Amino acid sequence: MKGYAGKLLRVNLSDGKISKEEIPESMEREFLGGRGFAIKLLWDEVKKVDPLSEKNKIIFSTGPLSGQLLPSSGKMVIASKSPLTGGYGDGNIGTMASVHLRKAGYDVLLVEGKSEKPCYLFIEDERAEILDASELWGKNTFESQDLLEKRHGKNSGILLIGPSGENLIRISTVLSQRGRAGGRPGMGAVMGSKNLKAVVLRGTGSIPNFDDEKLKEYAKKAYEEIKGKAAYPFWMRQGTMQVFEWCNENNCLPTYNFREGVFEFSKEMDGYVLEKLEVDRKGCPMCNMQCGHIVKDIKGERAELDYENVGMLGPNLGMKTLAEVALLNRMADEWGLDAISLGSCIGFLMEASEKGLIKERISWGDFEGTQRLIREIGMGEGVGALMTKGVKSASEEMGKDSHRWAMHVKGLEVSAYNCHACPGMALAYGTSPIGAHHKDAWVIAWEVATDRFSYNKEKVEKVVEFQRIRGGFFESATVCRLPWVEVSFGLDWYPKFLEAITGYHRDWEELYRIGDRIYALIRAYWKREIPAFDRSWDYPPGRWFEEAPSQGKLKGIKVDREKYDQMLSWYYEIRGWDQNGIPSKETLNRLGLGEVSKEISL
Amino acid sequence: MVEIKFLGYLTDIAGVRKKEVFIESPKPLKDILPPSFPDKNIIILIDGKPGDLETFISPDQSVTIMPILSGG
Repeated sequence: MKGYAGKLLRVNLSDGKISKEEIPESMEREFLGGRGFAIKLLWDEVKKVDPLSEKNKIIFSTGPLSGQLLPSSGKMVIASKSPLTGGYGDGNIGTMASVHLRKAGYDVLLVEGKSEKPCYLFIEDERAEILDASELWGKNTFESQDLLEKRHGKNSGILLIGPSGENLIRISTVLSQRGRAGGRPGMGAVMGSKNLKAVVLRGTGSIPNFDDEKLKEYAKKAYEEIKGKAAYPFWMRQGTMQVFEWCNENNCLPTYNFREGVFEFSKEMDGYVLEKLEVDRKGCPMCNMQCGHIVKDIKGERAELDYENVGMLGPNLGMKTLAEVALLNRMADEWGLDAISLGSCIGFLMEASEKGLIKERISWGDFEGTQRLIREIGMGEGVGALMTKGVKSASEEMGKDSHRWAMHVKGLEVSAYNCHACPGMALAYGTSPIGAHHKDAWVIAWEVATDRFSYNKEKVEKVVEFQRIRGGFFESATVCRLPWVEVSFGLDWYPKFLEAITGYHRDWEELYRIGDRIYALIRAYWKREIPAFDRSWDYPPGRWFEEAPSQGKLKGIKVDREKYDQMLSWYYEIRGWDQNGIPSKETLNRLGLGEVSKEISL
Repeated sequence: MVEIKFLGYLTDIAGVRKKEVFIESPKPLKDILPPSFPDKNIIILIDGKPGDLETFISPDQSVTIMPILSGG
């Protein structure tokens, strides 16, 4: 199909074999790209394996919109069987690597096996080599990026891991361009397990589109439309950091390991403080809504901030200034640790210390102690050894009811939204395809605008709708979702883009169906890989049901477990899944996934 | 006195982050906002409860108006 290279590059690190394979047109039609390609490949090829063994595979996947001259298109999905959750794991990352992979003539890079020694991949158009990375091993992501740019040129797409990924810490992610990160459910550890330090991509070709002239015409109008939106100037000043004030106002800021929803030092680290501290800005390729705000941290080093990282390393740990948080965030990026999970792990340790469950003394807001903890977690040493597999595993080891305040779903730590008084968002976390991440459905704004305390079917339908658009379409197309809501860029643009690129018209109804197919296969994957997988895996942390915040306008409010359970049942009904959250045989057949049912014993 | 708080880009439109407006009797919210104020993709909370631009505001109420966002 036009708009795709139609090629997958397969690299086996065990035997050094590198091969090019055709991507069937049926896969392009049925799974679109990005996340869709990733789950199709994992379902077919990665079955019942240890995620950190050489039998696991890591997939770098783009979609038809990736790397195009279109708004916010410089994205790719990195996916694998997750060593953090044991199920499907992925994350998207904005990176030049997306553009270069496409221009090198591939939609997907799949890496399998394990190298005997530290290595990195260098791919330049037709040429692909496995190169020695002994000089890079042990170096942080900033130093490694510098070295690789020196060796291969600044105009390269580079994906890499830090020391934490090398040390197989399961909250390790993949970094690019000194601060862009993607692959929360341990994608960095999967690279580490393969002795794969980095992937360097250089592509000089072009993407074979159906109608380049039409695409250029659309792109020009689309970029202009975005710049003309009333919300655009403010977005450029604060980006996602405007969410900080918004969450504090709405009592959903993660504070003191999600005990509270408001923070007494919020005015020391919100978007207005960011505006004062900002020294530079950066973004993904093709984006005119750059969201990476660079500030000088408390030691004068450059650090890239956005809301999630600030929320989890700031109020969640009781830090008092943005410059301190900037330093912690830079450390997370250097080590290659996912800043969201890291903030959750450290918050968990602070609470454990407060409760006397660990020997170490680490109090809320302890800036020096937090830096020490980041190093220990990155190395898997000291008290950090407890966190090598994330908060779920740590709470299982610790016992003493700590699972009630281990903030995760399915083993993935909750991102920066406290849901004591947001049952719809709690459901969005509960039913996210990768664990507690917000990218598939951020329904908080909708529920605050309507009735945040209700547990109705309309709210459940909204979660599904957002998952279809965000997790289904944007993750598979693969482009950034931010222009859509943040500046009200019209969704009707995307079928037009797709038609100009591929030559086929697909309306939103069909795109929803593709999203449903992708998600059904992801759920089947969870079931196949974890036979005990059932509805209990779709519950948010106990804290949201059992403990209400003591501060703010919404103190005293918590999620009602029985009503949540009712919403979950409605969710399954809407999806066509059984009451354990497994897609029914009829649903799989309807989505063209009939063969799948045999493997999950339906 | 009605206290109105604006969040996000709505501060650009209102020109302030917070203001107090004197009214003698209840009025629709839209009557005490700038004429150019957007009527879509915004959240209006009146004393913490969802409202809209047509909702009548009493002199002692507080209003928060914020944009619809999609998370970080």
